[in-house]
Amino acid sequence: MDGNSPLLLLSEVCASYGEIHVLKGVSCTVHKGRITCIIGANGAGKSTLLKTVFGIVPARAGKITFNSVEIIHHQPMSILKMGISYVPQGRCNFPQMSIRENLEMGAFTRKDLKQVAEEIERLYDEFPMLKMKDREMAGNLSGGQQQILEMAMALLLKPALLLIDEPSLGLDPRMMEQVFETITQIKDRGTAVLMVEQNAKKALSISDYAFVLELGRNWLDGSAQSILNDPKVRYRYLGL
Amino acid sequence: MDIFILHLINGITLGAMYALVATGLSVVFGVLRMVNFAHGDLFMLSGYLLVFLYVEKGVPYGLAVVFTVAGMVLVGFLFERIVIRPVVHRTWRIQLIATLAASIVLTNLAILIWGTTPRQAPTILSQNVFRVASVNISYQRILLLVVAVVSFLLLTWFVQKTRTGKAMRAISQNREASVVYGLDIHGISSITFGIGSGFAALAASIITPLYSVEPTVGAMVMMKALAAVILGGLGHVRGTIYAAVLLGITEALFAGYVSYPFRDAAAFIVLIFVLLLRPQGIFGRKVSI
Ligand SMILES: Nc1ncnc2c1ncn2[C@@H]1O[C@H](COP(=O)(O)OP(=O)(O)OP(=O)(O)O)[C@@H](O)[C@H]1O
Ligand SMILES: [Mg+2]
Repeated sequence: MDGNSPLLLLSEVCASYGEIHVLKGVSCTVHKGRITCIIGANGAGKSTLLKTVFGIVPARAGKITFNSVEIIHHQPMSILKMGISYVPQGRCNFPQMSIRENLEMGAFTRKDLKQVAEEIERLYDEFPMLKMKDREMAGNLSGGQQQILEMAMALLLKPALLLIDEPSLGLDPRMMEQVFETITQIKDRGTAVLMVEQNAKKALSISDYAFVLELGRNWLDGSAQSILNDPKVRYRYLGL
Repeated sequence: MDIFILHLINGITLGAMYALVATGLSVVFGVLRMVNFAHGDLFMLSGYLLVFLYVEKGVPYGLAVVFTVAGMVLVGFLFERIVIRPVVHRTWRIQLIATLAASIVLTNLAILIWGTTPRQAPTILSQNVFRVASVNISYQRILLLVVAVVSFLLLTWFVQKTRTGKAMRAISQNREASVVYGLDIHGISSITFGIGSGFAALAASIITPLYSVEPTVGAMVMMKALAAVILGGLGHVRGTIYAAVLLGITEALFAGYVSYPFRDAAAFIVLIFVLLLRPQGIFGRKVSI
């Protein structure tokens, strides 16, 4: 495969909930070693886009390829096994289980339990907060800590691509800082990230490339820097 | 006083039986978020399987119990595949009708095959008694208590420590997250159903020698078990066990001191009063179906 072919490619993807058409032909690309960010107003279809990639919402038209393989009609389980993990918007853990048990569940599809145990230790080194609260129930953690736990759970499947939906939602500024730092760490481990964010300014500052969606369609895209400096974007999404 | 002890022992026996049956119902509810209205009929089938093996085929009692439980675990897998899986993503109305229909089919099948005369399966343990003060207690009741306690401890260990058990808890806590992390929901549901059916079989194998089995025995057992599950808090297994014992004792005392013919109403009177005060059950947190 040539070095420039994208890891994930969406081409003219349409998706709907019953009669409500949400994605009306969205295209985007995600490359290895990058954080790609999707911004847009409430209801633009950002979450739907990630759900469509992960196979939770079926695409009605268009093409989605991952490593040049068509994945459009695959079930979440099969997409997971191909190397895409997903951290949805809102809480996605097992609140009455300890952090360690949650991590074990994150690695449930893996059969190499020894390596999993080693990797949990490595994650503990990388995210000391998790180690400190090892036996704590996930439901007792703060929102930001739960967000970091969920990303760690998703990483245990060693995905080539991590989909993250609104990681900073409902967090205080200090926690938000930590979550974005964690996402940068994830990129540095070699996992590509496709992230949806409301906090456009902060998200763009850690991203490499960005797409702006409006009402289920592409509106703009470019390097994160150029989007951040675009006067239209600054006016509409950054309140500047 | 002796009479009181007698009623109390009766109550604990009943409670242990309800607890075993209700545990199966509760575990299944926790993982699949649905009430299996044919659960009592799995209990009834287990009773007949025991009578067939132990009385008709002369298999030694201990072995007959093991075969009954193993056989019913398999029936549980089959039942999940045939009745539950097709409706698991449908509304609760469709699930209700599917499992209720299965219950009616099983009850009537039992009438066709075995008739309506109750069958008995007395064992050495059920025919021999020991005396405490002036009260006779059969060894079968002691067996029931021991089996109940041991099987609850085993279930707790299984759910806390094994991978499959942890996945059962995970699915019951957050189904959407289970999809996201690729938990094998079908496989785990199937195992859960086997466990639920196995618990019903354990209850039936030990209780049938004390009473008898007939095709409609499932309905009443099911109602009592459901009352225990609701009282204990839906999907809360330990709460279910406490509630079942409470119901058993209430029922026995009610039968002894208030009215024998109306003993079956006792459980439901308790249920109604508790739910008026605590709609989520005694130990439960709120769930929505
Ligand atoms: N399960 C659903 N059934 C029906 N309509 C839905 C469903 N989920 C989302 N929608 C609708 O689809 C549209 C896009 O939703 P989506 O969640 O993708 O938006 P979003 O860009 O992620 O918005 P937000 O910033 O609020 O998270 C909205 O109008 C929403 O009401
Ligand atoms: Mg969203």
